Amino acid sequence: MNNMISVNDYKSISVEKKVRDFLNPDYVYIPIPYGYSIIVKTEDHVFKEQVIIKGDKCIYSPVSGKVIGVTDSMHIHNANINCLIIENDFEERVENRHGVSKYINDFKKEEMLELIDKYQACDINFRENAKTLLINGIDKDPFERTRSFIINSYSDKLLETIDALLTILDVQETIFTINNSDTLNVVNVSNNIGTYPNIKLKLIPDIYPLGFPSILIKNVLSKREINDGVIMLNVEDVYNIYNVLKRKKPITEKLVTVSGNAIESPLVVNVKIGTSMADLIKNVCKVCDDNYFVVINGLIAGISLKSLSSVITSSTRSIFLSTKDNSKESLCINCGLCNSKCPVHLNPKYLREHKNADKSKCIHCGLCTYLCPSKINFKTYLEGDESHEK
Amino acid sequence: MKNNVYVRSNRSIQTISLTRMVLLLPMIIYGIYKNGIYLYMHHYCGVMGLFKPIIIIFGGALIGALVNIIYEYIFKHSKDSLLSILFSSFHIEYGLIIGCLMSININVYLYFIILFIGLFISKFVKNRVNIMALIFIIIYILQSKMFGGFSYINAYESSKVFSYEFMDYMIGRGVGGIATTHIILLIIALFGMYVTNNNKNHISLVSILTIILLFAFYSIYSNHPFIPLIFAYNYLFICSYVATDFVTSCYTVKGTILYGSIVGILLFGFYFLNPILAPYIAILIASVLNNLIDRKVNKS
Repeated sequence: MNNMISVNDYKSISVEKKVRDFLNPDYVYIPIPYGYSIIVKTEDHVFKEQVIIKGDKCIYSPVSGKVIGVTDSMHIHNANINCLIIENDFEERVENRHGVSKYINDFKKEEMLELIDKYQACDINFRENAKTLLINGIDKDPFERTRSFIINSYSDKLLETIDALLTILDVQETIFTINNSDTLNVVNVSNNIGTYPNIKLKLIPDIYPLGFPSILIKNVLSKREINDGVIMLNVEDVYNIYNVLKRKKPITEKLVTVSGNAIESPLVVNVKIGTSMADLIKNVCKVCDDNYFVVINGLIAGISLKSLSSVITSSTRSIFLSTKDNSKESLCINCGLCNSKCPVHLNPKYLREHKNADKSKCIHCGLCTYLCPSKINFKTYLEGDESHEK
Repeated sequence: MKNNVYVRSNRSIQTISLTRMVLLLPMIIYGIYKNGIYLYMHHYCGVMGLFKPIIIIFGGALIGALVNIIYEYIFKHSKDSLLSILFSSFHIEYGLIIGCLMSININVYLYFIILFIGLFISKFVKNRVNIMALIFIIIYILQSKMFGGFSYINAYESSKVFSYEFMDYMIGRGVGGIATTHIILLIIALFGMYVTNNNKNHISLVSILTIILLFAFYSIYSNHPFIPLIFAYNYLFICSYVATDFVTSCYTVKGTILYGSIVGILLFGFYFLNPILAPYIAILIASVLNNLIDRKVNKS
């Protein structure tokens, strides 16, 4: 872990202690993936959790309400995408309540995988004959608190599901990793884990970028364990699996960290998938500086949004409202920090100077850019945006 | 807006430079005592002599600051704050280090003129050679030609005959630059730079180890006393502060190791040509090759 850094020296963002709900947006915007078709018509009434778009997989409505039509003005990660608009009737009507079907330990592997696939609990490839199940409870970005809140709020459910997964997937070892600076979570999980002797709790130092799956695996497991096969899930996946198995319902809500120095009090919000950023910011944040821009999925590894007409998807972990950074890029001083601290042993300085060099190993953690004393934006070069001036 | 990182570490040229200079302060204070206060108290110099080390060392830093200000305000029409202009490059640190390395007998006018011209030109010829080594070599040559020689021995040291033991060198009694002789304080500074991650540790470590090894072999072979070989002529200080200049040295791990060994080997080679200039010539040559070294060793 020598390559990693602690970002505690930077003003830490402390979020509110309770999760706040924002589950009543006026409209939700459901992205229509390429090759998928809409199976409802304009003016139709849809139920919550009703299939509205179909392709290889089904996409469900997160609210009940009226189908308004399709718009092409919404964005995901700054790319235009067609979205189905549903006007919320705020009644949360559900067509069929499935209820609890059976004890989650009783599920067979195929049965579980079918449900996970049907309700899109997670995108994990459950590798055959893997011997280790690794649960990632570390937030990917040091300023995110989403995973930490999931552990805090649902530790009993998480442990129950992990224990069930251990049986269902027939793995030999389960490791649950938690950030050791989250003392509440450590106490919480330690108190509950006694009932589950097969789950090992591993406390991980609060250093970046340990929340990245490949880095966590490399630092937590031995080479032999990695070669024997690892299934890695993050706590959000586990919680989604719990909901899918226990309640047989699709994932329509998610926790998102809303933070940054342009808002008064950072918080974690439970929000409907498909909510627009503008709606969320307007209803949830007390903005203290109007000259802000929006960054999603981390202040270090995230991307800035060109427009607030972006949609919250299942992959949105955090939204940061930040004021403009005035740091100026200066000439490289050859300090070598980018090279010596790169978690995948790349040479960002070399990659910046050689456009054709192989950048495929880069995990886009942004550590080189964070550390650079000359404030060089390596991230742009590593992501292949060569229009940036040298 | 380009994708960027929206938080940055506090590390900057300013923090790196300031840390390195602060760690140098104990050595500077000792140097001022040894080459100013002590000489004045024992009537080896007058009032001007008392202040000469301060003038040389802090004057060097001031020249570095002046060069940054002139370059940024006049040539680049910068509108940045004074603080960010002062630390827009390592020139203040360069001036301070060159001041520490100077002989107390240096002609002050020559020193300031060459230092100013050298640092100023370096602003236009970016990252090419180790400017500290180059400026020292020029000052050394001009001092030798114009003012009859270059010697580190101060008035007190020239009045007596000394036989230094190991501990004498450790507590700074050895002969050398104004503020470079106290080895214990140098080790503390090196440790401080290592802890704060403000040094290219591989370069200082490998270059020092290389010269220790080579001089040890030479000492055994020629019966020359080993201790003065290592501690004389500021070699340890130069390997710690001059060779590790951020801008003109290698930056990859393999590169810094090779760079350090090249500095050590060249220093040993040039020692027989001119022991005072040897480390500077070695660093000058290695700094010219720094990009090449990094490219070659990391090719695989």
